[in-house]
Amino acid sequence: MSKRLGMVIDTKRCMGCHTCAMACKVENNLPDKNWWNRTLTVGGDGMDTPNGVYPNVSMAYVTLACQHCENPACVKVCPVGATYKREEDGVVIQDYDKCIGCRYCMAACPYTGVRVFNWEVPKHQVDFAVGDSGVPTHQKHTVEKCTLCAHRLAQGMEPACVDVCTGRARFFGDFNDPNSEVSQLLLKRSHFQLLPEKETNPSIYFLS
Amino acid sequence: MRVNHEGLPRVSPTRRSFLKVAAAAAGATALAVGPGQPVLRALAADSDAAGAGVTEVVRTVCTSNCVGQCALNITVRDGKVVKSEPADFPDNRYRRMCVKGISNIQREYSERRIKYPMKRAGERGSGKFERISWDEATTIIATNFKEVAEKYGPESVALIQMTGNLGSLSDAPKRLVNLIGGAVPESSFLMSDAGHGMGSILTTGELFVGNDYTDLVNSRLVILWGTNSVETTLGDMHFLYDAKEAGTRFIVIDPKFTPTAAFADWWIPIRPGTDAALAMGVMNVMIENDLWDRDFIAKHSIGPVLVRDDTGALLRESDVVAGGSSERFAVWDTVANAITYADDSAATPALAGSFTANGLSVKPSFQLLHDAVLEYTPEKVEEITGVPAADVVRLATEYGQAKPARVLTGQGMSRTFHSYNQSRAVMTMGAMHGDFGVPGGGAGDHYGAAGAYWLMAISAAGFAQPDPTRTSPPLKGMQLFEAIRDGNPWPVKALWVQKYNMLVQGPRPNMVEEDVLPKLDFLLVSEISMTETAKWADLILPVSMHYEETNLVGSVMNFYLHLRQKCVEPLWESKTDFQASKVIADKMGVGEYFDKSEEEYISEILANSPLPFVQTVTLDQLKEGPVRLGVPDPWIHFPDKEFSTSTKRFEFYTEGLKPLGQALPQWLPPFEGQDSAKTEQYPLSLVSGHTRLSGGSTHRQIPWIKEIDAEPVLEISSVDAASRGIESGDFVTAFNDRGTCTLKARVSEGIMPKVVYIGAGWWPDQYKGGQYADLTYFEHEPVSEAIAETNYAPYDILVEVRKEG
Repeated sequence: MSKRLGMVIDTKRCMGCHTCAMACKVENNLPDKNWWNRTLTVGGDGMDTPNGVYPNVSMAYVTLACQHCENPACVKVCPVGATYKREEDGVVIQDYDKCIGCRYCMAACPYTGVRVFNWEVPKHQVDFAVGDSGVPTHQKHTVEKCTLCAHRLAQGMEPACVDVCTGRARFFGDFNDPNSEVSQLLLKRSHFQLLPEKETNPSIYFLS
Repeated sequence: MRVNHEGLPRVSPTRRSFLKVAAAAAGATALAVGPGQPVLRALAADSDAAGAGVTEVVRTVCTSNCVGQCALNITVRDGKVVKSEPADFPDNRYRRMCVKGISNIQREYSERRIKYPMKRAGERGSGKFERISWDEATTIIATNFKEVAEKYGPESVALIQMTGNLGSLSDAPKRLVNLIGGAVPESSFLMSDAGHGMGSILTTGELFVGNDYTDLVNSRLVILWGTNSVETTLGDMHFLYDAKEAGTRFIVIDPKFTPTAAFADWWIPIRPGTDAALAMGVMNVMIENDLWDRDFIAKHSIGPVLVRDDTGALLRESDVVAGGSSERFAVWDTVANAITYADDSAATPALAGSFTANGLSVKPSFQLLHDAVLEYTPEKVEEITGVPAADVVRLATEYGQAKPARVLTGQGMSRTFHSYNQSRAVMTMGAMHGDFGVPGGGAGDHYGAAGAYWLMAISAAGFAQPDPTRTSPPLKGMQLFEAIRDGNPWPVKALWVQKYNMLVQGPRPNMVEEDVLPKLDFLLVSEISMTETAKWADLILPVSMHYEETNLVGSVMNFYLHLRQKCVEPLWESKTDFQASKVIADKMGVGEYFDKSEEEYISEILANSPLPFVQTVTLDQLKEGPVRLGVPDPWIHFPDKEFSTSTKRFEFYTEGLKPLGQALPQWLPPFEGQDSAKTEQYPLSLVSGHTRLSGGSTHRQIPWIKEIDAEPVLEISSVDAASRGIESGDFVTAFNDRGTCTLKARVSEGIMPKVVYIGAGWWPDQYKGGQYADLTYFEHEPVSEAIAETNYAPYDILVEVRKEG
C-alpha cells in the first residue's frame, strides 16, 4: 500500500518561535524574502497581539506551509504537469524545470501564501548556497513551495521543520499506517485540518 | 511523548565527521541544477579556499547572550558554515535549538563583520576608521594602557565584558586586565540581571536556586512571575508543555500578555515595579486562611528565631548567657515557656507573641513578618498593583492549596529599582508555602540553579584571576561611568569594552556619549560586528564568532558541560578573545600567562576546579560529547531543607539591613511608578523585554531575522492609543526628561492600560529617532549597594507618548 506522508502539529505545544520556518529557509536555501513555512499569530492584527478585549484575551500560533493535500487543487490546474502528487507517498512536488510560471496553481490553492513565485532571478544575502546540497536550485519565473524536505525523506530523515521543533509540537509520519505516531495522535486528540470545506483533505493536521 | 529521533540515520554527534568528499561531484551537482545559480558562484569564488569540495559536520555550542547553550551540529561545506542543526545528547530532552542559532550563519558572513584591526580616523563616534595591522594595534593598546597606568595608576585601566560570547576562555581579557592591575567590574548588575540574585542571597544564601526543569512535571501549580519563558528560555519550554499535559496549572504575572501568558491558564496583569506588594498581600491572605506551612516556617525558616526589640538584632546565646555562642540563635519554647535555641529539635518554638529574655524584649521574627504583611490587605494591594482584590485572594488560595507548587521569577521584577525586595518578597512567599527541597516545589529565578554555568564560573575563577595579589580594588558596574565621568572613586581613563553593545544595552547611551566617553583617554572595543559602541572606539579589534573558536561552555538551564569545537578558521583577520588577549599580553609583559594552547587551558581549568566532579572531566571526554556534571538527576535544591545562610534556615529577616529599615521584605515605590507625581507629565509606565528573535541586540541586524521582524514597535493599549489618536502603524514618540524615542505604534489588547512596551535590542539606526535606552535611568539604590551593587533597572520608568504628525 502506498504511503500518505504528512504532519501533525500540536497547537498546544507551538510557541510561535519561528524556528521551523527558519530551518526550512536555510535547509532549502530559500532566496531572500521567500518563505515556504511561516509562523502566523492567531489573535489580533499585529504579530504577537491577542484576540479579545483586555484583559479577556487569547492568542495562539499556526504554522502554514503546503498542506500536501490528498486531493490537491494545484495539481488539477497545472497545464504542464509541473506540480504533481507522488504516488508512492502522497507528497506534492513542484518540478522547477517543467514549471512555465503560469501561476494557475497559486490561484487554485486555497492556502494563501504557501506557494511563492520568483518574479526575478532569486537573490541570496550570502553568495554561496546554504542548507542541504541536494535541494534543487531556485529559478526565475517558477513557482516553489514546501517539498516536505523530499531530499531528506530520500535519506530516511524527517523534514527539517520537524527535526528542529523546540516545543516538540511537530510530528511526521504515514497516515496510511494505523500504528504510526501521527495516526495514533489523531485517534487520541481532537484535531482539525485547514479549510476542510475545500475538500482538499490536507495531510497536515493540527491538534487542538 | 516523542522526545528524540532515534532510529533515523543521522550524523555522528560525537566528533568532527567527514561525510562527503569530492569537489568534482559537488561541482557536477551545481552544474546540473543550473549555471549562474548561487551554488556555482560559491564554488567558483572559493575554488582555492581551504576545504573546498569537502563537507563535514562539527559538534559545537551556540552562544549569543543566551542561556540556552544549545549544542549544534554545524555543517561546513567548502570551508563555509551552511547549516546549523540540533545535536544529540545522552538525554535527548536537552536536544534543542532556536531561530537565532540557525540564522547566526548570516552574522558569520555579514558585511557588518569587523574584518581587521582599525584605528579611528575621524571624530569619536563618526564611524571613520582605517585598517592597521595586529602588530600596530597591540602596540597602540599597550602604549595607551601603560601611559594611563603610569599617570593615574593601573586601576585606571578598566575592562567591561558582557555576555556576547559565553564560555570559560572568553574570560581571557579579564585574565589579562587582572594581571596588569586594572579594574574589572562585575557585569551582571550593569547588565541588569542581578536583581533577583540579591533577594535570593538574602533569603537562601545562594544566588541561583531551583530544581531541574525536568522536575516541573511534578508541580501542581507553577507561577511564572515576570517570566516570559517562551521568548527567553524557549529551549526548555517543552518541559512546561510536558508539565501542562500532565495536569500542572500555570499562572503568569506580567503587565504584558506575552506568548507565555497565552500558554498559561491564568494571566494576571500587574503594574511594573509592584510585585513585592502582591507577594506581601498573598502572604497576608495565606496566613489569614491558614494556607501556610507552619512546620516549614518553624523548622526550616528564621521564623522562630527571636529578634530584639531594642536593636532589631537576632537574639543569640551570647546575649543571654555569659560566654554563650554568638552563632547559636535563641527561640522561645512554648512548652517550657523559656528560652531555648534553634538547634533544640525537642522544643516547640513560638512563632507569635512577645517575650522577655534576660531583661530583653524579644519577638519571633515570624511575628514581625506577620505584622508586616497585615498592612497589605487585598484592597491595598489592588491600589498599588492594579490586581483586583478578589484576584489577590484567589491567587493566594490557589497557591496555598496547590501542593507542591513552584514559583519561577524573571527579569520582569529584577529590573526594578528595589529589585532585591521584589524577589525577597516572592521567595518569602515560597517559604510560607513551604515547598523548598521537594520535587515540584521551590521558588527562585527561572534559571534555577544556573546549572553547569554556575559550577564552571566557580571552576574557572582562577583562570580569570590567576594572581589575586595584582588585582585592583573592586569597582562596581554602576560606578564605571562615574569613575570615567567624575573620577569617583578613582579616574578610569582607558576602557576596554569587550563584546558589549553598551550604547544600546547599557543605561542612557545619550548621556554616556555626551558626558562619559569624552573623558576617556582611550576606548578599545573588541567586537564581532560594527555595533553602535564600536563606532565610538579609538581602536577596534576584530573578534571571532563562536564557529571559529574552541571554548568550554557550561549550560545555564541544565548541568551539561560542553566543548565548543572550532568549525571554521577565524574569518578575515579576526582572533578569538583568547588569542587577542594573548597578543596584547605579549606587549604588556605578561605573555607567560598565555603561553599554553586553548585546549591546555581548558584541561587546566577542569583540573584546577574546586569541585571534585569537575576535576574528573577530561578534554577527551568532552570531545566525545557533553558531560552532565555529577549532581543528582534530577537536581532538587535544598533536599535536606538546610539553607546556606548563617542560621542554616530560610531568612526572610535580615538583621544586617535593620539600620536601613529593610530587615523584612516590603514594597517600596518604583523609581517612577503609577503612584508618582510625575505621572502628571509622564503618565505611562514603559517596560521592555527580550524577544525570541534576538538575544540582546545580537541578532537584530540579521537579514533573515529582519524578514520576520524588521523594526521596533511601541505596544500600547487600545485605551491609551485612542486617547492620543494613535493607530497601529503610526509613528509615535515616547519621551521623558531623559530622552526621546521615535518608532511605529502597535495597538494591542494584550498590554495593561497605562503601560507601554518596546522590545529589547533594536539598534539606533532601526528607530526613526533616539532609542529605547535613552529613556532609562542611572541612579544608585542604597540598599542594593549595601547588599552588593545597584542593579541597572530600566523597567520602572515613566514616559508620555505622542503621535508624530
